[in-house]
Amino acid sequence: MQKKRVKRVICLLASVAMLMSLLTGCGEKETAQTEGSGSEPVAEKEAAAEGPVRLVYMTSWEDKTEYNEYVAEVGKKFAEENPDICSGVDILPVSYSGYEAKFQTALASGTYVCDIFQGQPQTYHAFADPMPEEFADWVDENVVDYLKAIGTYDGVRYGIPQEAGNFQQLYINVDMFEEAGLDPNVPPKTFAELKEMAAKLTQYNDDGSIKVAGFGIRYSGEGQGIADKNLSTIHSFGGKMFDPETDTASGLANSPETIEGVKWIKSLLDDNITNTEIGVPETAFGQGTAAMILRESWVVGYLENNAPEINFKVYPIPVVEGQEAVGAGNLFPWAHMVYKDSPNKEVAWKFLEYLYADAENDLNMNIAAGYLPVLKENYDTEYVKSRKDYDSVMAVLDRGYTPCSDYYVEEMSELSAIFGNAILEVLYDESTPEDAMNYAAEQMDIVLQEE
Amino acid sequence: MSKKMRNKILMYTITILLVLFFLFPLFWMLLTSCKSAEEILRIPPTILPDRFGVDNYKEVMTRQPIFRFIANSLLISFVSAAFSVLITAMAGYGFSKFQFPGKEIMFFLILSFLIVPFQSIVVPLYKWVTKFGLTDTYTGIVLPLLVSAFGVFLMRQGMDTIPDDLIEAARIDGSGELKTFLLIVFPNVKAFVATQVIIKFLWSWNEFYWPMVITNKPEMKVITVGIQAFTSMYYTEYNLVMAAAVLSILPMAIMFAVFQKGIVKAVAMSGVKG
Amino acid sequence: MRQKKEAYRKYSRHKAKAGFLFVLPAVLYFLIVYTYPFLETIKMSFFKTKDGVSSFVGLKNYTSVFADRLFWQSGIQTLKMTAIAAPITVILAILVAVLMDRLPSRKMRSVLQVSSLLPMTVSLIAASLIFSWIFDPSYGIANRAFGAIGIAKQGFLTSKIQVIPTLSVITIWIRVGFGATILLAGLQSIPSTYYEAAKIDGATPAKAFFKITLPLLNSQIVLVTITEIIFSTKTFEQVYITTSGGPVNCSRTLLIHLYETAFKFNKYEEASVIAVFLFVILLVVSAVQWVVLRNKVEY
Repeated sequence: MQKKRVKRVICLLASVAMLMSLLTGCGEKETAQTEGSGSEPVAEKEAAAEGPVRLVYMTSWEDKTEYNEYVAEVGKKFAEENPDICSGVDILPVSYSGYEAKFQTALASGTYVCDIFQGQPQTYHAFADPMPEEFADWVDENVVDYLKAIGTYDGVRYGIPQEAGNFQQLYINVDMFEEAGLDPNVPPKTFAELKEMAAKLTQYNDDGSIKVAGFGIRYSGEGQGIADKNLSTIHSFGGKMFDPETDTASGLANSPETIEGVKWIKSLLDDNITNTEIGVPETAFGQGTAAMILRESWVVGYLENNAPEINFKVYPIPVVEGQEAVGAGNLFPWAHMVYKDSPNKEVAWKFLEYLYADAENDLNMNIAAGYLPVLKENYDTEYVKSRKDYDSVMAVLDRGYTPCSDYYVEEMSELSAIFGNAILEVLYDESTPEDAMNYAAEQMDIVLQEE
Repeated sequence: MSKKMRNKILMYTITILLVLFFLFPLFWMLLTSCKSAEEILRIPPTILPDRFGVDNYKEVMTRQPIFRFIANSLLISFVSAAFSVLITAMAGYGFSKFQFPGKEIMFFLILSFLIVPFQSIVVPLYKWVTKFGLTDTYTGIVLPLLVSAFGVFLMRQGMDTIPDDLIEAARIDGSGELKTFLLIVFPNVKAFVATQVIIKFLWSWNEFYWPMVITNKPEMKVITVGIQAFTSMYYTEYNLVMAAAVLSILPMAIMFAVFQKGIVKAVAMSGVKG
Repeated sequence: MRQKKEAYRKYSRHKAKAGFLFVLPAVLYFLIVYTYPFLETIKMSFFKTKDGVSSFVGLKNYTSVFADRLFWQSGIQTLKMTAIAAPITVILAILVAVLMDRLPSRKMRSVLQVSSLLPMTVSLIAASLIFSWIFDPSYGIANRAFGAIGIAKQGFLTSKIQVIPTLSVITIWIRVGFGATILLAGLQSIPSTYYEAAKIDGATPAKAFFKITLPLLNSQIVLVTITEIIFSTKTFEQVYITTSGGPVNCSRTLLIHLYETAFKFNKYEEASVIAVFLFVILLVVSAVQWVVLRNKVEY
């Protein structure tokens, strides 16, 4: 009996030992296969990097498989045309949940992880290589105007914007408009009109609760998102978040105009035109539980795929009388950047130049992702012109006022989180607009003025 | 009705309620995985799917190498459980049956690592693990998972249950320390060993954070990281996520079905003493 | 006599060395894999990095973190979640373990055992996704079921008040199996002679449970309690995947606060402060529990 047990234990130990050695072997084989991802210190890598390299492109757009495949395809073509410097591009997708931790850990470690990555320059500029001047000038000339600020930090360009159209536009449900006796070709032009029409569009259940909200607001998620989605409203009222030149938020985040904007949003809740239960705006709109929403341009594709029965139109975001019309812009735009600790920086920049030199690429990539292209010349294409939001997009792009580009400072995540949290407190009746925004301004000042 | 009957019925009822509580979400996950994207967004929510379609599964399997992820998870979990059992059994034995200077300090040191939130050590840990070239290797993934602090705790308690005389007897018989451990002590804590194996295996199966950070290549991902592919910046494709989750449970479910008798027996075996 | 003492001392030393060697692999492992990074973390909490240069700033990071009201809000909410999830998990674990031990039908026993462990196979992330789907106010089955029996639509994860209890359900669902398995091992090692003796003495099953079972199970119960408290305090994935701390930061836990500080705001040093804070608190709580609640039992 005992002998059997000894045998069994020895077998177990032996198999564990074998397994371990097998694994170590396996693991090493994996790393040896692709030259790209390994983790040798950079200096050694540089000595070894003679001949064509395989570029590694790290992205958090894991679910956008077609987009990523397209980049890899262009990578192949690039390799074919430049066989002595590059052998192809490998995509390294990272899941969106928790990507910040992965990016930070990988990029901060100082070991080689990727050559190109997509991120927001204000957050990742410390890990990014400044763009070669010629390319930077080219980018400035060829991207849509409002995108010029994107990819830069503190006056230095680190990356090229990846997508456009991430600014708020007004989506209206045509059928609901008609049912309510409104003309779907005459959208609300001012925020006051927007509220009036929303009031007419709201439908109620027998018990007085809202069945269909006239206008769906963004009320859930983290502070940064809340700030991002509601800023265009606040900007329309003449409000602002902060001024990076003077490092102050007081007088801006709690200015009468900002507070008015916040109050407008709150009034929709107070007047029972909408509530904090109908769900995320685009889902609500797709389900027919919201008649109007403010959302970015990707929703056009989303609705066509997931809610094809919804008959909708897109219009520019309304204005406030006496204030400037707000143009394009948002807080967290993505840009292609090059990792500063990559030994293949020059090749990486060459590839990016190659990628964008042919405007077709920018167009096709964004068709795959459902976004708008970044290069000016692509706005004359069939794809863009036939989009349901084309007229609206062109109208918004025409508007010059793009305050969001001012906000791209290092602490923007934190500042927008404070700002967004304050708005949430107002929406959920935890604080008055004045108190909440005053507190936010105070906190934002501390962050801005920290050494 | 006799008291015994009443007790029996009470026990059965509570058991059934508990089983329902545990199984219902999994059942719901299964149902959702068969519904289409459009179907899950219906109001009011449907219970049974229109048809038990496998489209979601097809989509999941095409988009990501799900089975590779599952295989990776299985490997990591096996190795982690095997290693952990051995080392924690040894440690538990040492802490329980021996005296040496600094014993309780060391024990406490190990315990304290249950507390450290992983997010706070991930950056330094990543830095030195990558210096050894362990990114994208199984060794790299499994390294922080090799020994369970909780396991040391558990095994110490398990060892506590072995009467000292049993060990002394073996020693008097001239058995060396290691032999005593392997032949006498280890077999006597089978229940605890079985528990450790199950728990450590499941726990490693669940690991998300570290595997995500240490792996870059898609083929090296584990299943918990792989499922994330179906959640995105804007919205979650629940029907696909559920399908991926069902696929991820399958190996576990199969293992339970196969080893079930063994598991129950092992736990029951250390049963009646004295 | 002296020879005997000599022999005994030699024997003790030999035993001490053996014991040390047995625990060595585990201790070494933890020193290398966990102690070193954690010491780094502690060190970081006293520094600040600007433009690549790290400088010692004493307690400045600590004052910043403690001055933030969001930090304390996170702390209180973490406390609330633990206060709900831990006790319920332990109680249910005891219940399940006892049932697994006592149910007359072997089939029922294994059904219960397997089903209690299945939640853990799903991974915290998938479980959070399943539950957020079940509790979705508009598309979830929970509200549909409530509607069918006449209860109004609930907010669950979107309600300021319900969000923490709802999230606790996820934790409880996943963890009960774990605790029950541990407790079962303990239950199985209670000699049946004790119960027989009690029966002879005329004790009812309930009395036997409270006077024999619970005390003998004491070590395991304390172990499970400590583990559950630690686990609940470190709640992260459930919140991150479902509510991101919302609504209005009502489900923000300390680890969410840590994650955001470290990886979204790039303030590693302040995040290290939060880690150290958590560590100290949990250490104290666990130590107190271990010392106070545990009674050594003679087998």
